[in-house]
Amino acid sequence: MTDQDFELLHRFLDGELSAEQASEFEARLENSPELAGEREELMQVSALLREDISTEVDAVDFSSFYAGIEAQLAGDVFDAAEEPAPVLAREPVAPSLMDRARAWFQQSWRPLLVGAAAAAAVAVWIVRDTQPTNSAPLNGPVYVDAVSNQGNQTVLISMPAENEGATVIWLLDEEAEGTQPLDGEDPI
Amino acid sequence: MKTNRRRLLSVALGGLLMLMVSAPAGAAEGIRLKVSVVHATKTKGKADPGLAHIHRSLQQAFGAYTSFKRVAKHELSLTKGKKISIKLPNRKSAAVTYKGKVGAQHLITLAIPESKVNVDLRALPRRIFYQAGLKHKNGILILAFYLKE
Repeated sequence: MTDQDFELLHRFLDGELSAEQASEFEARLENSPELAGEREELMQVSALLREDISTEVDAVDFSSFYAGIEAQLAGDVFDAAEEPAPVLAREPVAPSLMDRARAWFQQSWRPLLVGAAAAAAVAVWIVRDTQPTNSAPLNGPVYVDAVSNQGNQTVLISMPAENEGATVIWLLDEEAEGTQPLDGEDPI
Repeated sequence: MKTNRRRLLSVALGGLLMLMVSAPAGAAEGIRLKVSVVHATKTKGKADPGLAHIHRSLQQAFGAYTSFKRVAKHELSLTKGKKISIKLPNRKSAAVTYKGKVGAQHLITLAIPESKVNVDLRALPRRIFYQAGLKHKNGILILAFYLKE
């Protein structure tokens, strides 16, 4: 089995193949015990990795979480669409997406007890040249399967949709004194 | 003379066999994880030559930060099932546990024990990824990971 097969298998399992590609791949799965075995193994691993946090995830209401993040992303996409031409690399912006996401969490003041943050695909980088140089390490998808967060901090996962940029596991460190109100106290 | 050679050969083969049997299974995998601990701030500063290869990647991923300095560098030899801890300059630590290989991907659990956070991930070799956000000296720490077979 080649690396390309393996990548196709992942895309198949993630539902990223077109109907035609998926149909072709299913035919291959039927004719290749090795490929079918690999699929079975991957599905088992995935189930095992997710099992631990599934209960916690079910107990958490993510509706506001995603609404807030989507609002932030929509703002960024809108800003990017207004740019006249692609730029080589995103210039530092103030405030950054992370800063605004952090501000949103503080403003909405939900208890920062996110049991686990599901992966969010973020593809806002605009680059002209995505070919790596010989000396530079390749960026690309590193997949986060599960997050277990038993502390009171927030975890955000940024996984680029394509081979543009690197996966970032953000842990929003909220330990500075004075940023958290006491129990029962209103945030503002 | 022939007998001596045979004995020598037998001893050499026996020793080799012993080494193969006694070596831990994980150690033979030869998986290495390079970790650079980077201090990122919003102050202006010279580019750290030690980060030349990933400077562009850092700028892309952490656009709000302008200064990146490597404060520590580690190269870990991963063994299946073994947890390796890295001390961080902010008195916290990061722990990496290698869980084996599925196809071309390596299963790794990355933990920040003091924050009670565990992340299970799948990584292809020669791909860089980051953990970021821990506060340190008017900035944040970025852990850059790079897996090699």
